Amino acid sequence: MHRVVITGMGTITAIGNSPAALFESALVARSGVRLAPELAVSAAIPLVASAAFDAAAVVPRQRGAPLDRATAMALAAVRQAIGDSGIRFDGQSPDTGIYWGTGMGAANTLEDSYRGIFQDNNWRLRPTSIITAMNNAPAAVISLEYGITGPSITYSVACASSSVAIGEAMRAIRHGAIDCAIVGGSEAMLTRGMLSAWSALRALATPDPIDAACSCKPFAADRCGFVIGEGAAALVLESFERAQERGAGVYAELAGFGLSSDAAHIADPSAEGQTRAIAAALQDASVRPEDVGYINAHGTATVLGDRIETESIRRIFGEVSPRVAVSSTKGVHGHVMGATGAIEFTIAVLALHHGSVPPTAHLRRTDPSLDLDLVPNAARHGVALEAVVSNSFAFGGSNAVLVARRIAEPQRRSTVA
Amino acid sequence: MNETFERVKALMVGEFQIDPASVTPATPLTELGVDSLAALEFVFVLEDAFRITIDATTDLRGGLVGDIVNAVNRAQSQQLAIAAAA
Repeated sequence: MHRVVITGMGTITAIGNSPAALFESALVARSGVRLAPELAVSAAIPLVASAAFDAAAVVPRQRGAPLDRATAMALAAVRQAIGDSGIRFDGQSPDTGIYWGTGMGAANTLEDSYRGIFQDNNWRLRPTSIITAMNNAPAAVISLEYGITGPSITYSVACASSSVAIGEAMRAIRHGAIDCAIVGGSEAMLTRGMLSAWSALRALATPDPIDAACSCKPFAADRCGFVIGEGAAALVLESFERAQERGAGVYAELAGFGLSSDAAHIADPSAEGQTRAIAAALQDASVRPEDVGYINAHGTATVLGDRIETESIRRIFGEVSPRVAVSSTKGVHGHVMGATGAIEFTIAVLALHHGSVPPTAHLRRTDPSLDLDLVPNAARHGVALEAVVSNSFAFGGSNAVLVARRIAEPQRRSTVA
Repeated sequence: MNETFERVKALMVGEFQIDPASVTPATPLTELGVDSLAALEFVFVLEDAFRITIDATTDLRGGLVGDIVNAVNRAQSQQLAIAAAA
């Protein structure tokens, strides 16, 4: 069994297009949420957490099929992560795999195509529509760009997609199938159709009357749902031996992965299922509840979701739960669906690395029934963290939990991208 | 040829962000970095700009800039012939 370490990271989000910018924004609770009148289909103006990102600038137009926005974000995040890791892929790399997550795939390309057909009566679809819109386009484009010839797998597990991708890659490295993996997820679904569909589900936050940027309020008494975000996060995973051999700096050890299915309800969360996933991840990591200093919660700010997650955390952490810092960062970067697990795991790893815990933003009035240390509004610095947890709980009842552990000083990197 | 070539060249420069001086009728698309899928997509740009329909059997992949110009001219004459017959 090989230990697995994190040696590179990259992100595109509404609150920063690098891990350092993302983490800084999360620490100061700088929200990327805004009203988007350009995406309104009725009098109700939708909220989004959109990234300042030019998809057209990622790949020259002479090369291959155009990239969907989600694929472009994936490639941009991966370029950062690989650059950060210092790995050079020269030619064939059969010992490296790509494990990628996405919930809805190429939502922008699909909506554009259907708009052409059904609105403009233009049945002349672009020749590269299929290649641009297929769900494995991000993994394929990453493989092509770097000549990565090991396994290339795309996971679609709704809001847990990228967490599952990261965990499955960890297992593949542990068991020696590969010794390096490019992992993460991407999602870009800020389209009128997708926003309407989510809105119809009654899961989305309504605009805060004073400041729209504060509309998503995880764990608050007046919480009213989430805001859809977009973005990508990529990490480079390596076996500890390989990272040591090339003298790579290490952010943290990816120590545990727990996976479960509720088998209870297609949309409602279950404390039974969540508890099994958290317990499995801690056991996999050989980490005791008292060793965990920070949990980046799934925390979608729905009335039921935050209550069930609180119950799950309390069941596992029991008496020590008042001493575990728990925050949801979705209030600032939005719910990035298939990418959200990778983005939030990146934040958790940076919290571990820096000893700084990001707050739960917009938490003016905590729901008194959610009796956890929710780190309201202000970051905590100088916190000695040994292990951190990242929760991702998906529609469909899939629960994925990742655990990262602090790495001993000699291998620990001193700088962060 | 010349007028069509100049318009095709302008479209290519706009679409692919390339140096206008590098585009001549004898330039292979590969030399401009235009790969097979980008060439397929460029058919759309041509059809919209010239208001023509390029025959589905026309394959611009791996050809010369001049081949594109010929394909446009061919499509334009076919359309004129059809209009005249009608």
